[in-house]
Amino acid sequence: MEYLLVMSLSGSTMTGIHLLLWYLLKDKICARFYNLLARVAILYYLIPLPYLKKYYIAVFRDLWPESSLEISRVPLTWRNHIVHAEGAMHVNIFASIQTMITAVWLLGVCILMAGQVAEYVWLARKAAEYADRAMTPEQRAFLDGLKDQYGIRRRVFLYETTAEKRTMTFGFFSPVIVCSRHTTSREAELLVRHELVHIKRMDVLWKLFMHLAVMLHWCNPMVWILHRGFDQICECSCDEIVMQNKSKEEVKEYLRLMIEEAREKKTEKVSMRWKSGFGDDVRKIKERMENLMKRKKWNRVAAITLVAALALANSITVFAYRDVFEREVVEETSEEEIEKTAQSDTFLFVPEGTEGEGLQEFEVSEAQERIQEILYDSQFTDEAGNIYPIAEDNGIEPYCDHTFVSGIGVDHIKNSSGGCEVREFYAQRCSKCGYVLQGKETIRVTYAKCPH
Amino acid sequence: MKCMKRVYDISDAEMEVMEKLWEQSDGIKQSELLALFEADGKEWKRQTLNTFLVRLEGKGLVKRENRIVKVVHNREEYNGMQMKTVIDHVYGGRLSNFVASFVKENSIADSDAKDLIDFLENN
Repeated sequence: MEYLLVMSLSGSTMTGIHLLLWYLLKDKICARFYNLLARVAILYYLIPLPYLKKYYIAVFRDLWPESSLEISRVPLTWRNHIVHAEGAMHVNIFASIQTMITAVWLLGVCILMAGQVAEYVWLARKAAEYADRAMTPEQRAFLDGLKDQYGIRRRVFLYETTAEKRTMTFGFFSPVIVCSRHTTSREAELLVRHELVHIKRMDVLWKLFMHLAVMLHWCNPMVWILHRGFDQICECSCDEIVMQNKSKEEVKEYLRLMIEEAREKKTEKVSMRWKSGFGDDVRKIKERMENLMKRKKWNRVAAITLVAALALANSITVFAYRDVFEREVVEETSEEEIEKTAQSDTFLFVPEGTEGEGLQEFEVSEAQERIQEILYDSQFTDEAGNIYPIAEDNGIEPYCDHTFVSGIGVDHIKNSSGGCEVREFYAQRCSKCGYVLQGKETIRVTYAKCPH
Repeated sequence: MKCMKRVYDISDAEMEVMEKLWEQSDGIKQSELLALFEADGKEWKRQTLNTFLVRLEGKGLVKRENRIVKVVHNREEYNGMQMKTVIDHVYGGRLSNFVASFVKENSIADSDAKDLIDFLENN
């Protein structure tokens, strides 16, 4: 679940960058740049970026050995915790609930998507089959000529229809262009060019990815905002490619055709989700017209470099992901102990250099000298000698970024016979929220009669 | 979907039968049709061919009159009909129903179109 949340966060920040640039520099930067940016945002919604966190940490450590990134390794109460024992895996309740929610979530998305994709692919295959049968030699030559110009090697089919007054493309593998004009006409050439650009850029597949991102992150409003504008960005950028290096008059001819196409669809109300349509409502058409008429300059290298830099900067969101805390237990550990360890929300850290130390046992008289002054049943003493009580629930503030100071912790437990047990351990206390991280136990003394 | 399947569900073997029937514009007797397949090296039994014909009849693609088998639609009509069904389905069928919230109004009024043309010509 945390994976999904981090993916959602990284996609949202990229969407935010996309929207910000769109509103600030819409008139200056080509739609192709925004299309590229939108695709990167879609990928951020879909790629499990948290996997990269360990590589990021490695890079940061190489660059800044004294980096304070260690803090990110401090476990929190609400954290996935896995215990590996004899090849089996035990997870805490938090991890179990998260796994269950994620599994249900992904299963739902998969079922919905699988049904739609299967039906869509089947329809596209059928359409390709029928279009192939209906294509005349002239149409094939016309299409092949245009395909060569755009360097498209995939099989593409063209279906001329006057009954369906919309030019569109659908299908992923062998796309079908449904053209509303006679294929020998100039209008058909412009329309088919536009659709071939969609095919070359795999726009239909990107629309599917967009749809998948929406289904996966349906509760994130940013993904809906991106989805809402994606079709328009896609069409605008496609227009730019078709009209690249064309004269002003040719651009006007293309725009007239766009208006004509939109006007003809009076009775249709259709979804444009998985198909690349030509034409839209008035505001969007006007936006496309303005975009083309501004004749913005396109620099491929600069655009790709800028998008790559933004994508890299945005990838820093991987640090929002808290690693799963995993530990191994020795083979002899009982099932009960393993379960107890898995459900424990306390991380027993081992301070550097103390790995070999065993638990020390002392005579009571000797221990009294060594053990810290006991003011509370559970206390923490920092290196300056300040003593703080440890709250019973050791309540952690989940959103605290923790600033730990080292010291010694002491537990004083009374027993029913009037005696007590004192346990001393390494500890770290957050000076902000008071959360105490328990470390390795160092001393344990049992008193027959409690002197404290 | 059920209606759509009725049109689409044609197996390869059924399509072979259709192809043969389309070559016989005036129709053909079932025995003669069987002979044509035999000439092509297909060892179909009479009953097998009859099964295919019954299925095609059920789909409304073939009719039998006085022991003569005929196609209901010629090749172009059939192709156009199938394609139209596919396009209609992609346009406004089940796939679109899944995204009902994204359905957009795609028409522009004549007055809007005129405004857009004016905008285009004045820029």
